[in-house]
Amino acid sequence: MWNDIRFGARMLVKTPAFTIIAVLALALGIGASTTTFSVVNALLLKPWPYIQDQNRLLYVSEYFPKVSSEHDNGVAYPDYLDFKKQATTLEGFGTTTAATMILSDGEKPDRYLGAFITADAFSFLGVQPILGRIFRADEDQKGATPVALLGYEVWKNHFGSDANIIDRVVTINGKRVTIVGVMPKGWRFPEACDLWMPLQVEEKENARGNFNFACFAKMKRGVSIEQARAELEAIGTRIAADNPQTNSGVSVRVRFFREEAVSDAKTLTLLLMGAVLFVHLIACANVANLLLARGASRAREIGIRLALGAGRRAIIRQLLAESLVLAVVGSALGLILAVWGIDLVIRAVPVEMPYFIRFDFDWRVFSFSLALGLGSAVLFGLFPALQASRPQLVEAIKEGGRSGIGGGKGQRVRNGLVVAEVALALVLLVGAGLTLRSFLKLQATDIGIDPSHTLTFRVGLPPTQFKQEDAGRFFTALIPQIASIPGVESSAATTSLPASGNIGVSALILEGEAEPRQLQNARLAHGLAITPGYLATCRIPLLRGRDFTLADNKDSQRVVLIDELAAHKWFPHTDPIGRQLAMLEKLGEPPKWATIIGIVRNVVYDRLTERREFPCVYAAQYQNPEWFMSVMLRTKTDPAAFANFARAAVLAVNKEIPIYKVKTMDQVMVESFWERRFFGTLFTVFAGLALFLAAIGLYGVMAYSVRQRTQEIGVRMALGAQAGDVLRLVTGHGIRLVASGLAIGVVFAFFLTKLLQGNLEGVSVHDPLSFGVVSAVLLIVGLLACYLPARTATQLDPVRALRYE
Amino acid sequence: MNNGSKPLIHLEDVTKVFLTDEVETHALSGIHLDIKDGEYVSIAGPSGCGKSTLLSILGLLDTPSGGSYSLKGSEVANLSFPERARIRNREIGFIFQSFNLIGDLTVYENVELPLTYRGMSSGDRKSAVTQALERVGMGHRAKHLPSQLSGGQQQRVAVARALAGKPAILLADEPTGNLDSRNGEAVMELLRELHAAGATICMVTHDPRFAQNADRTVHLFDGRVVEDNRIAA
Ligand SMILES: Nc1ncnc2c1ncn2[C@@H]1O[C@H](COP(=O)(O)OP(=O)(O)O)[C@@H](O)[C@H]1O
Ligand SMILES: [Mg+2]
Repeated sequence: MWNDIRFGARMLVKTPAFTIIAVLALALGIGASTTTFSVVNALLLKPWPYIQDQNRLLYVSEYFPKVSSEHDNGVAYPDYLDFKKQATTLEGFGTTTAATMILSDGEKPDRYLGAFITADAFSFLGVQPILGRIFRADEDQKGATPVALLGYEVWKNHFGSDANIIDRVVTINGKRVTIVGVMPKGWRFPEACDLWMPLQVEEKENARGNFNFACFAKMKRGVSIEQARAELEAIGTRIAADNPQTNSGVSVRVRFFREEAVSDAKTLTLLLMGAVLFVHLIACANVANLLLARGASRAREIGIRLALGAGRRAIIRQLLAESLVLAVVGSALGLILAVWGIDLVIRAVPVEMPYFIRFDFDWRVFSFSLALGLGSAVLFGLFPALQASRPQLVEAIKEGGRSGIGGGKGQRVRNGLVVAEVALALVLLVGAGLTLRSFLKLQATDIGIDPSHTLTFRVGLPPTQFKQEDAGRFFTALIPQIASIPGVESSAATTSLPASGNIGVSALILEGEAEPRQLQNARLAHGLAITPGYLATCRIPLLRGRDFTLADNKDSQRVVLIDELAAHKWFPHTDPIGRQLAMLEKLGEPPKWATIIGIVRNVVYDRLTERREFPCVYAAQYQNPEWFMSVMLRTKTDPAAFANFARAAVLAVNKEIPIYKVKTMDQVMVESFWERRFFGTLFTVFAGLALFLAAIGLYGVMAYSVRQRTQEIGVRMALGAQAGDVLRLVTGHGIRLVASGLAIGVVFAFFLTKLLQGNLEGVSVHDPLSFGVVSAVLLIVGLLACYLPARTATQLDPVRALRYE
Repeated sequence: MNNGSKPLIHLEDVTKVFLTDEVETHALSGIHLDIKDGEYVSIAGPSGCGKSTLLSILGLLDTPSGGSYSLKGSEVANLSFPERARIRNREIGFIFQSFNLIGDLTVYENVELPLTYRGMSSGDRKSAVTQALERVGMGHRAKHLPSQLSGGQQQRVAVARALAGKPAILLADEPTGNLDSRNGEAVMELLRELHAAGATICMVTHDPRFAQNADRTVHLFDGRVVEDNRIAA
């Protein structure tokens, strides 16, 4: 075998053009596949760091099938306690809520995303601290000493990796808290948190019917998810029977935690993996074609070997050894391309990824690329080897002109491979075309505001530290400060930024309506609070009535603005202005009525990829202040340049309050559909690669065919064929191949694009424009790929062509 | 020429020099040759003396490096590529040593090929092809592929292809070189019949037996005409 490999390498070195093209095609295929595989690996395969027995970890939520079978509501706290107490299939049951945590001991306050979490969660998750201890099970009880765990980065950056940090008392959200431990590097459970405190829940504020807590659980060893699900559903049914007002119509959802965490990206990632394997198949088809041509031109060498008594098996082994060398070199180069590709992928993600998604190389990625390389060697090498070692072929070659010239041996297989390449490329290009069109549509979406020249940031007062009046005073003082920065046209604050998806759904009633027993039967709307000037800052047209003013404060009659959709839906026949509505904040509290004073144009607050058609109700921030808001400032020049002025303005109002999530509105828009852009870009890159490889393949086959048909072309010229006749002969052959590929590809694309359903906005999976343009592009590229060899054919010297061979 | 019968082909001082790797090969030097309408000329000479080169120039596959060549009274040495292709198609019929039938085309389609390049209507093509195939005795094999025929049969089809377009002259380069003697004789018999019916033929052959079929044998040596024997007047 070693000898075969050495000889194979020598043969490859002897034909550098062939070797370089084959290795490059393989490297592109393997590089792209490995890059994509590292995404699949990160999302679906790689175990999460520090969590033990992650395959026993579940995600649990409650939802109303009647409202939406897709949207989860979270678990009500009393329900959570029941599940935790009664479940026998579970070894742990926990919940967590993210919260802004401000560390204010240093020179300037630092804001982190922290998590309040069930005290025993870390212990059943199995993570160990690098310093100190994790929470004790009783530390989430009322009256326990406030304690916190530090994330590795906070420990390093905020506390200078202080080894004596344990038992230090620090200020978090204005409270004195004892640090009991430091978590290991990279641990940011549940997604991107840097600080943890035990979750203490006010039971009276979280009565049954308030579905607020996303839960996770760990199954006991040997329990299946079906058993756990059945038990939790049974408990849920029991709760509903005991509490029909709050819990009838409530279902329990139980999924694997990992599945829940990656569900959004899973389909697209797998589709991408499929697409990239198509690219690789095209590359393999190219190499197979090159090998077939090479086998034909080596027929004599092989014939001699067979004549000298070499067995067919020895010949095949020899030829496969060559493929193996190609594959190994291709894989090595592909791995290098993948390192670079993965870097590009990481940089193409504009948002913070959950800590458990890590794209870096591991043995899985490495084995994948090696296995792909070796598998491909067999895939592209075996058939040509079988073909070349066929003794009949040798006979045929010896016979020479006996059976007529032209045609070319093995042409049918080579043609078939090119047809397959074109078909695969078409499928990919259609996929790319669709994702690209969808992405462009999203980018052009009118979200109802003018996002240009606008800077946004998040700021707020921790509710554990500040009273509601403090929050009101803070924003009343802040907004004029910001607006007075030179270069700022106007400024305002809102609880939810347009297109950010950071918005909830609230229940409400109109005047004269009874309060519904359950949220699932209520009128639903997006509810948000804004300060006066928000409409002007966002350039949202006021269609009727009046905007909020500073006079709409806690002493005045409550007022709201609604959007067109609300007006249309709730007041189809009457004038909404002057009518009353009440948002239902917590079930059981008396409704707070507010008067509708104006109607504004619709604005999209959902992420553009997850739009829901809910009406909008705007409340006046200064009548019922919120603690956290997004401040927006419209600037005359580049908005990004105003971040430092904004930060200074906030510190001038309260020197302990940091700002965070500083972004231009354009950035917010981009993040609103970044996955589409991400997958669209990758799809397009891969489709471009497929097109390129298919074009090379077509070119190779045509060039080879012209070489094989040299004599035939010479004869045709002798018989009086004009240049145009020869051109038609060759391109005709190529176009037939391309057309067959297109026809097959369109049929496959028609069915395969259905997999994109649900991941396209505003474009049908059978969008005729995408299908048409893509087919035209392929046809033109195919023509070009045929044209070069065809032109060579017309320039043949007939005398030489007739002497050929 | 003074008797008014212009030659079909008139070569005057034709030379052909090949340049390969800076080596000049004088394949033809100062060839004078007239071929009259209806003549049957054989060209003889040792291997490498320039016979095929001469035939290529006669057939307008190649251009002479010097001298002049007129076909049917008009100068053709320096015509454009399309013009030469047109003349090859209408005035010349080629017969090759290795038959050179196109393997993917049937016998019928092979014979039809030069007519297609001429833009002839399919009805006209059909009668011309049928006639040519009948003439070489291959009418019953029209639908066969070349690979289904013997060498002798293939060469007859090649002859049919050469004469289907009623060319001014048939050019044959060692037409019997790849055939056994029985099949070779049959092909020579066919050419003799064609000549008897009025065809102009110029044929390269080694075989003195076959050369006797011709009216005239031109002997080449080292790119020059060394002998021009008229056998019968
Ligand atoms: N395309 C070419 N390039 C270079 N030399 C050539 C070419 N064609 C023919 N020759 C040379 O010209 C001479 C005559 O060749 P050719 O006409 O084929 O001889 P013949 O047919 O009499 O055997 C030979 O020496 C041959 O090597
Ligand atoms: Mg010769």
